[in-house]
Formats: sequence, structure tokens, C-alpha cells
Amino acid sequence: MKLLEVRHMTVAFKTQQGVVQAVRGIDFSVERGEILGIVGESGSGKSVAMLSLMGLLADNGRLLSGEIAFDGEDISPPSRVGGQTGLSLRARVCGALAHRRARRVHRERMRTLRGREAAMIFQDPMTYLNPVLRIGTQMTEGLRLHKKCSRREAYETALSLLRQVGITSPEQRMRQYPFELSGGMRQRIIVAIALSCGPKLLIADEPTTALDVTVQAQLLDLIRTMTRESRTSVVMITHDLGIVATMCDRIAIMYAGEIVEEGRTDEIFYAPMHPYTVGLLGSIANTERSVRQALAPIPGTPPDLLHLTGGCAFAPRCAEAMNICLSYRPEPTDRSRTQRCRCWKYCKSAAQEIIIRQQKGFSTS
Amino acid sequence: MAAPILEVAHLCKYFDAGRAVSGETKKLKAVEDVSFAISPGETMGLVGESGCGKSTLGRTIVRIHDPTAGRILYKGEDITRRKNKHLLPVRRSMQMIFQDPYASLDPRCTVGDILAEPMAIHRLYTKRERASRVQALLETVGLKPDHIRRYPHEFSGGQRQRISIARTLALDPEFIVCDEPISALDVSIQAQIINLLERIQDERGLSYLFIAHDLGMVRHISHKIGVMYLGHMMEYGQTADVYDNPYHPYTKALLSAVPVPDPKTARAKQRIVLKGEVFTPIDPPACCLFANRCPHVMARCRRTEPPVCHVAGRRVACHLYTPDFLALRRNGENPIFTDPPDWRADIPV
Repeated sequence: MKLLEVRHMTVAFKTQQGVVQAVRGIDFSVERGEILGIVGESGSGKSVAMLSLMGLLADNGRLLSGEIAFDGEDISPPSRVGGQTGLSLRARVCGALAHRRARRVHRERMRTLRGREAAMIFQDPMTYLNPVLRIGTQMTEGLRLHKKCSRREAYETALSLLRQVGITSPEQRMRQYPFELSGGMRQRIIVAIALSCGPKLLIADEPTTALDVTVQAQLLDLIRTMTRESRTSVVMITHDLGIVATMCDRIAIMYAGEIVEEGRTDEIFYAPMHPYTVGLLGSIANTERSVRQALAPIPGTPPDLLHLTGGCAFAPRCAEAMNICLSYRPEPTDRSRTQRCRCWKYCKSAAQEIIIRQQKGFSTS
Repeated sequence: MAAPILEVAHLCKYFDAGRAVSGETKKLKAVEDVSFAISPGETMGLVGESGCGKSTLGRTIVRIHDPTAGRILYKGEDITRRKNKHLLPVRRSMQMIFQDPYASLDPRCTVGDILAEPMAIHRLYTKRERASRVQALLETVGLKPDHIRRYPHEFSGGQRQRISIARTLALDPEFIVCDEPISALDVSIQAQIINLLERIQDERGLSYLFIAHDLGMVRHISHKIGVMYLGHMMEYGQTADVYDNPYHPYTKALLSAVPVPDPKTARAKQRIVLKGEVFTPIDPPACCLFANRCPHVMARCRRTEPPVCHVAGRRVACHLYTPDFLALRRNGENPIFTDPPDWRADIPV
């Protein structure tokens, strides 16, 4: 059974320059005990998607649409019953009040969900930990709140967690402040905090970007062993294809707020479909590669999410772009039961149909 | 092989790190006894974890920092103690690309001003020549001629890095220190910049000192590689040799820790996971600085600093490769350079 299922998630931010479409209708799901990697460049919407999932969007961000099912339960925010005409004033007021109530209920539900059932690790361990609180306080906070542990129990649990994540002399660390610890240790403490309440889902947003490779290896090992034991599902957000190759069961590639390709790790690496995935794989150098091969970078730069045109967002950088790519957005095409991608290359028949309809002068949606 | 364009011998750079309770000044040893040479047209990669002193080394070579000890020879001339005025001609042919393209370009200058400034400082060319050279530079790095009147904030990270590359090329340098030129950029843009750097090198016969922590990119671009750890050069040799058969235990651990972007190799890969925390570079102990994390640590590693050993055309700072230790291993059953079950086992110290 799927632990998490997200359908048609759309997120936009209001800014002074206009509306930024950060996430544009993504679908994905996570199985129990599975590690899903979400790969994308900065600004591709991978972090925003996860933040809105957890209900942690900034004030100017809005989850415009989307159904989120977590562990069989619908946790999508209540949608606003917008501007229905023909209703009496009384009905409209009642509707608005009901909406407010629904939102409050949803907010309360998310508060109990975060930390207990779904936990999140962020990129920068220094900004995540509170600099003026001792490690012990921060470690026991979630346990006391969610698990209703006594002080004693919470302290003991925290100690054993610190030992599990490989921190020496945990009693002493509990009394220390975050600044007294190295980056790797801080990040390990964050992993310990995230896993302290035994969540079903762990979202790791670039957990190792701030760390060195040897420390990164330690931490990835830690996340893998600790989640495998408890069959915790992990969503791993990263831009490092090396990490997803080592860690993940399935991969979703994001570009300009869309999941352009999705598949099992081997499918993505050995049989990539979308030209962007192919380009990404061509752009990385490999320590294991003995021959000096020329890199094949993707020309151009990622699009501006303020001014997106109607077509495929990757079309301006795509070597295989066709006319249709510039004006129509491709729908996902399945290749296998696990792999699918959004590219007109793979749905020629649909493309032809659109062209024919256009020629006949039908309106196209 | 031609005479090296840059030679660095026993270079040290210490910073003051406040006073200890005893009243002695504490020293942060950022670079300690580092030696290497770069030939014309060659790229030397410098890798290591953050805080290992690789950027300080690069900055000391271009004399942003004054070296504490050691010598820097540029084209055979000793520039270690040169004062600013006499450094100017050296700086003309020795340039640097910085890591953060958002911080290294003056936000109040147009691209044209940024690219012309080096020529103005060195009083080269007439105004008209400068203008045409700026155009040529923009073309070289793949920017459009009308970008000349724009300001840095109008560009993306990759384009800004192109501008700073163009700026370093303004004076036709022969040697460029690239201090993590790609780490602030997106993956698809990184490859563009690397290809650009390689193309410029092929066209102009430049030498690079390429500082990075992306080991894949360093393998791709460099001919020689130096691996640094807490200010020391742990291993130094030809890139292919070091990557295919690392000698130093730290290099082994470092290379094994790199996530390989290939699922099958990644699954098969044996990874050495290091334990322990990195020593502080402030007044470090006089022993092997990797001793507390090394899987092959011996008693002598904790007692004395390892000498720099010359093994098969490579330099390794490790007790496992000292002549007497190699002789011991040769006499025993252990074949050299392959891992015996436990190196600590039967070696008398």
C-alpha cells in the first residue's frame, strides 16, 4: 500500500514581480519502506513541493490545488469554495465560517502529523537547531510533545538515539549547545531528532549538501540503516545524481516545477527517456570513469518561472524540440509500469492529433 | 617536459588564532609544508574537505595572503617576498577565478567596466583597443555583445561565472587559480563552465590550479592532483594513478566515499566509512593528523609526523610508505600496495 500519494499539486508564490509558479501539477507517490529521490536544479520546485506537503509554506505561497493522501488519510488543505453566485448572504457567510473551521482543523492535524508521523531534515544544520537551547532540550522536545514521555523517559530515549547515530559521550553532548559541535555531528543530531518519534515518512531536503564527502558517506549510511530497520519511507531531495544512485529505489526528475520523468533508479540511469534527464547524466563527471570523455552539457539556462510560456518548459534548451513543444505542454507517457515521462517525443500520436485538430480549426484546450 | 611555470616548495601559511591561557599565541596552520610544480598547459587539481587549506593555498600562491615560510617560484622567479609594486607584472600573468560569482563582481560596474578594469590598472592598450578586446572576451566566454552595458545582477550564476572568467582572461594570463569555480552552480551549468575552461586551455595553452571538492570534476579536468587534509598534502601524483590506485588511507577513504552516479557501480562499491572527528587545525598535535580517523593507524602514527615518501612517482605523507616500513612489508608476506587483512598486526614499531 502506498504511504503517500500526491495528485496534481500546484503551488504558486505571490511576489512583487508577479506570480511564480513554483510547482505546476505534480503527481507522485511513495511506497512503504521505499526511498524516493527527487532530483532537480535550484528553483525546480523540489523543496517547495515538500514544504507544502508538510504545510510549511511561506506566507506568500499557496497550495492552489492538489490532493495529498498520507497513510490512507486525506490531508490536503480544505479548498476554498470560491465566489459562488446566486447564494444568499447567509449561505455565503456560513460557507466562509465553515471554511475557516476546516482550515483550523487541518492546521491542528498537520501539527500532530509533523514530527510524529512525517519528519523533515533540512539542508543547513545550523539554522535548523536553535542556537540558544541545549541539544538535550531540543532532542526531548518532540518526544515530550508527541509521545507524552516523562522527562526521564525522553532523556533516556534521546541518549540511546544519540548512541545509535554514532555520537560519542552522549551525556556530555546533551548539555552542549549546537555551536560546540561540528557540522557532521549537528546533522547527525538532526537525523536523531527527526527519527525520535518513529515517523512513517522522512523527508530529507539536501541533507548532506553542507557536508564533506567523508562525512556525507557516514550520514547517508546512517539514514539508510536507520530507516531500513523501521521500514520508514524516505523522500530524498538532492541535486547530486551520485547520491540518488547510491541511495534511492525510485527517482523523480523535476524541471521548472514539473516532474518530467519518473522511474526506478536503474531505468533513469540506464534508459533515460526525457532529453533533460539525458542532459543531466551527460553533464556529470564520474570518478570511476577512466577515459577523459568530453562532457555534454545542456545549453542555455533554466526558465524564469515568472514568465512561462504555454509549451514544454524545457523546449528552449532541448536539442530535439519540435514545433509542438513550443506551444503545447506534454502529458505524461508511460513506458513501463514504473517509468513515465512528460515529452512529446513519446506521444507522437497525441501530438499529431493536436496538429490535425489545429489545422481543422478546432479549438484546443 | 618544459620547465614548470609554477613551483611551490615547502609552503606554509599560519594564521594567528588568538592567545592561549598561557599567553602564547595560538597558530592556525592552514597550509603546512606543501610542495608541487605545474608545467605549462597543465591542470593541477587540488581536493580536500572544507577547512583543509586548499583555498588558502591558492590565495597564498597569488599572494593575496603572505606566506609564512617556504618558496613560490613563478616562471623561475622567486615571488615569495615580493612587495606589491614588483608583484604587478606577475599578477598580470597570474589570475584567479573565485568561487562565488555573486560576490566577486562589483554590483555597481557594468560588464564592460569589469572587463576593462584589469587593462586600465595595468595601463595596457588604448581606449578603442580595450573596447574591441572586451567584445572579443565576451565572445570567447559565450556571452552576447550587448551584454556589455548590463550589470552583474542581471545575469544568472553561470553567466556571472563566465564574466569572471572573461575578466581573468583580459590580461592574457598564463596561469589561473580556479578556486571552486563551479561549486555554486547547477549541475547542467557546471559542465558548461568546465567545457569552457577546457576549451580556453586548449586554445591558449594555459595552466590551471583547479581547486574543488567535486572529485568527479577534478578527475575530469586535471592532469595532476594533490589531496589535502588539515593543511598537509597527503598525496600528490598523476590524476589517473591516484584515482585508480590511491595509496594514502585518507585518499582511499575520500575516493570510496564519493557517491558514484551509476547505480550498478554504486551497489558494488566497497565504501570505507571513517570514524571520528577531524582534528582542529589550531595548534595541531605533532603526529599524523589523520591518525584519529585512519583505519590503518599504528603506534608510530600517533607519535611522529609522517615524512613525505616518494613511491612510484608519487608523494605520500604516510608512515605506511616510509622506506623502512616498505622494506618490512617486502620481507613479510604482504605484497606492496594491496591491503593485507590488518596492517597493524605484526609490524614492530
